[in-house]
Amino acid sequence: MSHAAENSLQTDILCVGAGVASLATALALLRGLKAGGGDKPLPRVIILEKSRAVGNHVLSGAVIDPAAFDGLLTADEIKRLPVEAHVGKEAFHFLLDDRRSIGIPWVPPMMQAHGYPLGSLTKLTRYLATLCEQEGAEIYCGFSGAELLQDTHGRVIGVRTGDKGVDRDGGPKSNFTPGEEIRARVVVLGEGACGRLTGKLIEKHGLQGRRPQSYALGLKEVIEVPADEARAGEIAHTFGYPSDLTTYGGGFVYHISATQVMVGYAYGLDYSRSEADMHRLFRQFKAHPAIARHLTGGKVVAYGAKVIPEGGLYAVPVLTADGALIVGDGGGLLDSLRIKGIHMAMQSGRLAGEALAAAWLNDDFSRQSLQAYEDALHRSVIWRQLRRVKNVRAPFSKHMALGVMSAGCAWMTGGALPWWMLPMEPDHTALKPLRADVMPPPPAGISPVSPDRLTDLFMSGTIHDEDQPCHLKILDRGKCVECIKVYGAPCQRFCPAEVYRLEDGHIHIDFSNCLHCKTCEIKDPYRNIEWTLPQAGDGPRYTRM
Amino acid sequence: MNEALISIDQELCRGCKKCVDACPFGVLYMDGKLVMLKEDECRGCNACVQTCPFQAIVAVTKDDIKDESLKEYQGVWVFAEQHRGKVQEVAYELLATGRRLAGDRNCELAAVVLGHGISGVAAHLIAAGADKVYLVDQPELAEYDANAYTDALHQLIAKYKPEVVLAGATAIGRAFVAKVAVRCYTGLTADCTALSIDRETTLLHQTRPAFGGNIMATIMTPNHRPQMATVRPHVFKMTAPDPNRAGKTLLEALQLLPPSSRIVRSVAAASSVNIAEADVVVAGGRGLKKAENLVLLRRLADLLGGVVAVSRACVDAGWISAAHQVGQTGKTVSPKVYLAFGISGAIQHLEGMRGAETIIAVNSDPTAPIFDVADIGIVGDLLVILPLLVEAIAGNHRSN
Repeated sequence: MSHAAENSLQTDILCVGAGVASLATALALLRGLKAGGGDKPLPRVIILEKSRAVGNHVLSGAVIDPAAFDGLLTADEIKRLPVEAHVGKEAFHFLLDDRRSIGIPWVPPMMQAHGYPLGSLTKLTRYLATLCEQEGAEIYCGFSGAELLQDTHGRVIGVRTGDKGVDRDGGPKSNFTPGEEIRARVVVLGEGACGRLTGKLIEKHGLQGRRPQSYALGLKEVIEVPADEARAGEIAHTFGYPSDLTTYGGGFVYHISATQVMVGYAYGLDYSRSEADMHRLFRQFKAHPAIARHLTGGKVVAYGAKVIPEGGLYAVPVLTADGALIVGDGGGLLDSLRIKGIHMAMQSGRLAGEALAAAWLNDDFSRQSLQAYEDALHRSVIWRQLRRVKNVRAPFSKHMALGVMSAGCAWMTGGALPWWMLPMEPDHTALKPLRADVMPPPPAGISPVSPDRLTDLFMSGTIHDEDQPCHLKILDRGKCVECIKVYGAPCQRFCPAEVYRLEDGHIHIDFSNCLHCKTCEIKDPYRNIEWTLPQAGDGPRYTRM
Repeated sequence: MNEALISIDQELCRGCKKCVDACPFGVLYMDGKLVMLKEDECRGCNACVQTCPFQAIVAVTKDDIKDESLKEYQGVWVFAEQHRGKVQEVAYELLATGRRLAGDRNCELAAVVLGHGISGVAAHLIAAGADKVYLVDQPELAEYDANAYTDALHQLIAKYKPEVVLAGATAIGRAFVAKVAVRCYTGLTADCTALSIDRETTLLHQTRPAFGGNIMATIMTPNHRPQMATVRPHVFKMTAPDPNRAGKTLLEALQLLPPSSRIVRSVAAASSVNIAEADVVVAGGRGLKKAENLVLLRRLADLLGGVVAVSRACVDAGWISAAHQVGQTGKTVSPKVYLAFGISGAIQHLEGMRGAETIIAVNSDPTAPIFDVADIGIVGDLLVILPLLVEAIAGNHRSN
């Protein structure tokens, strides 16, 4: 490590990932200390972001619960949020099959979102980033957190960034730049769902929640439609088709402006059907009349995918360690009934920022000191929300009817019933062997509003330097042979980016297509794929997600 | 080198071990309740100084160890990389900057050239600003060899003691200058974008961007000599040569370590193809099925005076180098004629060749998207059609 140590950069606070959770942390910390008016100089705050520009790797619906901004933004700043519409007309459909649907006459109270801001998370993230920079935080894009630095007692003391300019065989290219060590008093992990350093920290320090995290894969498109002023602000949520009755799946259509529609579909990764093809399900969903009527005459202009941590309260890990804390999606802070995480990410960031401000003033970043963050979280509104829906997700993997009942029950009793932890299997064990007779027919006609997977992928803007080591590691090729036989190589179908291709009995990896969603690492039935960091700066280029 | 860069006051030390944890180099250790230092290995990073709660460790400031021997080092050197008697441009760029630095230090500017049969280069280097040229003209240096080059430059530095050594951050410069720096037990700042002499300390300020240009780091080498830096090509500007400049050429004969490897044969890189500028591009994709079938494309390309290109699948399969790849992650081409054999035409590929004037596509799948952009489309097996086409065109050539 000596060569890297010479390059070490010192900071006080280091955030990994410039998503809304990290940015809220930095904002709350710096604003809190300024308002406190103490004599101590402000800490140096550095935020690392693996994408090329802030917001390039974030994706959400997004109908934002305005609770997100409480205590973080001024009324004036809330007014200037980059949103084009607020939720007006709301609808909620149960899709019975590929044609029929039932419009639920009233929107269930927990789903109501009237007046909520509606917009692009990329834009919101960029807006928060400018606020953070105004407060003095430094944001370094194109730098990934490759490794947590820990001292001999396991205390986190910084992060090593990823190497750049490595060729496909692992050798240095002419532009080789070794990763640098950034030493910090405290590292804030805001990596988002299934974060790599977060996972390492949880594993190393035994911070796991009561059960492993469960995920859903969300696919999303931005569709440009002929202008219709009356529709801006109209939203619809669905459940049912094309999910089967044992898979937690649902979709949304948001008219975020007169000309732009956000359409998305999320599918629980504890699904059992090996033949399930994520992109095809998404296309089936869009072709349903209840959805298609929102998209008439439209054209897909952006595409993306990410996983959503749905495990709820029981899957939330311990969020603090000596010299480190976890905020947002990486900590599993997401309302798994409403599938809303932005407000939880930002509010967890705010609480973390407040705890860090106190830690800075007391000059103590030990676990005991950072515990104040978790204590505050446990007293907060978002924890109450997590508790209320703690058992909503699990029964959905048994049957949708059970799930709906449980959701209703939980809502009415504020989460008191059922009081015990309902069981749930880890995602990768749920898959059942492939039955050749149930393979769905090839997808129907391609159109601007329903492109094939590769064309959709193009709209994500994803790009990787191809002369670098493949960042998707198959740990044991022998297991692939078995998997192809038993499950028919499900990686070809669950990957929303056509990274995996079965050719002549061999799994071929087009890593340059990767959208960094990490579904493969989560869902592979043999846990045989490891998602590692590609060169920083590579990956999707979301600009309006 | 062996002088301590920190000093530990054992009276104040309470044995809390915080410094031992903080030391990135592992040179502090506990002896009973007292902390000890492996003096030879301390780099003077001062991490322990900041950590110690009892102020028991203090940094030894550079005045305390000001080594008189550092003053023996004088002059600015530029390593002038040459290939077959032609000096690389970056050397001239560095000489222009070296001239300014030498002026500020009021010292000589010298160029160092390693190679064999290179006597002709000295005049160019003098015209570009060198006062002196150290020429090592020996058969062991005829081709680049890391051992021989490292040894040669190190011997020269040890003999003449320059204060500053600059080199281009080329593949060769990167590879061996770092080794030289280690041998000299001095620092090296790679990829500098600015170099200047500090007026007060007379130290070389070596500035380079860090964290993608978010920070400009200025690095100095106060306690070791020479001060070494590399600069990427085209970062500095060269000045017009002055053929009337006078300078000395010193031919050095060195006893060098035997080279680490022997060059059996030099082959020009085959990937020097520039598909982006060709008028005729003959492209193949996954439909070629195996690497051997690329020969068919080559034959057609030769007949048409064009170049061979491929879609990503062929590069991934290792059939051909990435220099031939067309598409989003390859090159963008806009030839007069683009022939696509066995390319389905995913948007990622189309993005790279849409600009072609005429597109001719052969594919066995009639629904392949390539036909949407093709001016002429043939549905069929390329392994049948391609040989027929080659035969027909070759026949046409013969009859002409």
